[in-house]
Amino acid sequence: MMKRQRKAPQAVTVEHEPEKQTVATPALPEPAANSESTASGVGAVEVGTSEVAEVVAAAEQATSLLRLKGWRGGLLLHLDAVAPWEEVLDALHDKLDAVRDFWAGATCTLDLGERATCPDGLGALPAQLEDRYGLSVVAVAAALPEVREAVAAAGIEALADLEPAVVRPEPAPPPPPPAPKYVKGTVRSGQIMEAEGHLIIMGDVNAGAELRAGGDIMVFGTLRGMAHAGAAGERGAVIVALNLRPTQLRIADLIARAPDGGQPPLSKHPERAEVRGQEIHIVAM
Amino acid sequence: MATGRVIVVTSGKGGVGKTTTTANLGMALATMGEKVALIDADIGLRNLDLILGLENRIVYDIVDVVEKRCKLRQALIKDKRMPNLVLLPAAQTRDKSAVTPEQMKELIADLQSDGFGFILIDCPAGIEQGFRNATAGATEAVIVTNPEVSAVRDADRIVGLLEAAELRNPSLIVNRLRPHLVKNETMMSVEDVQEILNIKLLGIVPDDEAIINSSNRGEPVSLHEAAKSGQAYRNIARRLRGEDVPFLQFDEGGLMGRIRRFLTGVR
Repeated sequence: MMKRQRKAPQAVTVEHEPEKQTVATPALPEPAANSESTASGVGAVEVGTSEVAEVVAAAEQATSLLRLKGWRGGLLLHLDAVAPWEEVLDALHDKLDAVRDFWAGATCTLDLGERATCPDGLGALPAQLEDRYGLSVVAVAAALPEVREAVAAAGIEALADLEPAVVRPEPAPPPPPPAPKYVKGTVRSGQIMEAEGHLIIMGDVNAGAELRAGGDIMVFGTLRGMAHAGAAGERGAVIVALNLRPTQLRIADLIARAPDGGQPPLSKHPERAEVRGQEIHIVAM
Repeated sequence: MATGRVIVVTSGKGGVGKTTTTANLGMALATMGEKVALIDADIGLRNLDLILGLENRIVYDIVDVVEKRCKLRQALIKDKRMPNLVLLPAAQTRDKSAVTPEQMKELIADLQSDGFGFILIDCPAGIEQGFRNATAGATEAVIVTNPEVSAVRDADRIVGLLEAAELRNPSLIVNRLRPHLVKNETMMSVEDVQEILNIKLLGIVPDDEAIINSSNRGEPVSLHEAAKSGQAYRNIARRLRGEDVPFLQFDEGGLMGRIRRFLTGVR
């Protein structure tokens, strides 16, 4: 059932409500049930985010008078604050006309920046956007207080600045790797040792005990229990032990268990378990 | 002054010989002149009185004491052989929830103030309420295990739980060892057990038919001079008192044994 829904949403819809087949929009998981919204919006309200990103990216490249961004689940229109208002409007309509129906039903915020006034007033623009593209203006950002007052008087939310939302956050520096966890002593049956990063055990890990680490696991002793390295999915993680006699080893999403019928003879060397291909391999060190 | 040593005898797994060990160590310590109290913490499944042959003397039990139906002294049963050995029996008609860890602590403090030098607690199997009760007032732990993987695995779990309960450095008794099975490598050796548990070895008790007989008769085997297991228990009692006693050797004696050792190369 799940598979079919993902592959062919329309087919499923038809099964349930055959009489509405003509209304259903193939690209949407759910058909618009009432005809009003279908007529005005052509069902494009629930546009996939990747599609928005594509269109926005194209628009961003095209002009400097105007920049489009996705913002607060809608559209953000940066209008150049210096260029003549007419030029800005032309650029705006050019952009939006290109994919006229695409915006229907979406909300938008206008960013006027430092612009003080506009020849024909802002008042006409929201209505225009609504009529021509189905874009409803929910907020206007303006640097000048008098502009904001005028906007607020028109019944639209006035914002002083868009800073927190508009500035694309710098890709956050990767968090510093968590410090390795060091455990001294025997880890016994029923005990669990967990570490976000690497886990180092200075002692034995007995059968029935469990080790779990985001990074590598090192046991300076005999590992008889279960060890799970790279628990968050890191297949490059390794498990090292002076005596490797585990009941089970796990690295990321792979599992290896001790062979049935007893352990192989104990290696004279410390051993390391690592992922090679799709399997966990044990190699002498 | 609370100076008496409070030792819980525990194992995790059932049937490894906790109760037998408690009875025999208590008896051995008493014969050495110690004033000893044994507490049967296995409420609902009381056995310690049977092993000691004291079942028919029970009037009050541990639950009567904590529920204040009698004084502690009234519930203590004096051993018929050793006047300095007493037993606080478990209740048979109740379960582990009849006593709380706090009540156990109070009870043990009372016994200590009565001048008992050794208070041995026979812990029930398992790791639930009964285990928590039995370990609540203890200051030392003796872990009894058999040389087999399941008993050792459970003992390992118990050591971990004792550590979490701040009962550190437990000591180990390996019970029911069969030396000839160890020799032909069908049974874990004491060394194998120790390698896994990694705790101090307190004693090794051989598997001995004399124990079955003595348990059934209510005569702890440590009273029998001849029995090898009795000797082992007496040695453990001496080690508990701080003496340095070498571990028993279970080598096969006699000419045949020596020839077999020579031929098989086993030392």
